[in-house]
Amino acid sequence: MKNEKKFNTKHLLELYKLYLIQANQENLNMNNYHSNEHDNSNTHPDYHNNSHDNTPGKMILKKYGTN
Amino acid sequence: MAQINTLIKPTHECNMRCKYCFHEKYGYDNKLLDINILKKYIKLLSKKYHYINIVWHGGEPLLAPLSYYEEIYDFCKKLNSQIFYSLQTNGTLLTQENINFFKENNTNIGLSFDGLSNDLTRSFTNKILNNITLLQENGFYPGAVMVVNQYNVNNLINEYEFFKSKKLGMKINPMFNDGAAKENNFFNLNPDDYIKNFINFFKYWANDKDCNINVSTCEELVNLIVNEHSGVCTFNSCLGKWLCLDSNGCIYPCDRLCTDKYRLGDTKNMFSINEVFQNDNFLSLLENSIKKREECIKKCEYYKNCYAGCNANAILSKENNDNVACYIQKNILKEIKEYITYSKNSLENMNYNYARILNKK
Repeated sequence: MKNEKKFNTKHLLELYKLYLIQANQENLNMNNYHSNEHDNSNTHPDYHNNSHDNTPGKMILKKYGTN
Repeated sequence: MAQINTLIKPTHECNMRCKYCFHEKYGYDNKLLDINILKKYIKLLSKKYHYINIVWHGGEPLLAPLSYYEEIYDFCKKLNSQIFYSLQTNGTLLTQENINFFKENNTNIGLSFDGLSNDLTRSFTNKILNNITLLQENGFYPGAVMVVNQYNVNNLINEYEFFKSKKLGMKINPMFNDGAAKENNFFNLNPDDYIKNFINFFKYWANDKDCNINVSTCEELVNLIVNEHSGVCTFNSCLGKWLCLDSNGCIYPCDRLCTDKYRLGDTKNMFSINEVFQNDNFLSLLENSIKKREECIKKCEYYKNCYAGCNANAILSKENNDNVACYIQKNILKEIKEYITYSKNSLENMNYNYARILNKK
């Protein structure tokens, strides 16, 4: 709790808003792929574009799928 | 409704030593993440987020005993948040018992597997193929990430046909010079070879009416071009949306930046998950990302197709003094953009998934 009080959260939020606007996103709620209509490939989001082989492949259960 | 994605590394230990493994730089310590720390972390998340996406990761996450997952899933059921689970595994330690558990608990399973060149770069090929069959027999439709290196870069179409024959979803990632890849430099990928071969493969995929698998790499690229939007973290402002809990209990922005410089907090000392955002390391990441985007907005015509790409790539590229990821992405986007324009009037004869994304537009 102490750390939160010391930090200039107003400045942080302003920067975060700018960061999202740069990518045409305005929702400060940090939405993820569950609300992204386009993600209909039934795959897990790719959390990097590198060689780590750590991206899960196709989603298996529609109930909890990405759509 | 607030949502968060988190990678969790129950351990750094792995029973494989892949020739290009990025994790080599962190080591393969066999310490198991303290389950009480893990519970505290998830509880902190649940106080802020209604939806939590957990990706079990590593190391090899199946080196943690099944009882570990049983205990944590039971714990999570008592929380108010809705939790979604995925597991990224090398596929060697899947058994009927753990498959039953993950199926019952709605956990998606993704693999890491290099197809026809798996023996050369990863090993345990037969075992992994048997376990893929086991997953399929149990109602899973798994996919795998295949890493492209200089050895298999000329063989992408054959690799694709192999994945199709196994009904295994495919995701292609180019290998970059990191971790073990630095030692095994005979695998080092020439970016121009990758671009040329990937474009050929993409066109083959786009024209394949018999495609029976998801190839998320291709689909995502089409999405980026036609919709200028992406749900994957690489192109979608990952800061604040993704966290990584390491097996030492510390929290980082992602699995590629698990060093002190980028540490956002230590679970055992925290009172609120907000602390991971309200600190100088997060602020610095945010400021640098904004600055980088400003530069890209000024000079790159593909900015709206990648939004400056992966933060970790940008940071590591700067540290390694190269810009390979950007070079590859830019050239691929350019070629695919032209190809979409060329092919968009003849979609009826093309791959259903390709046509579907374009028709939606």
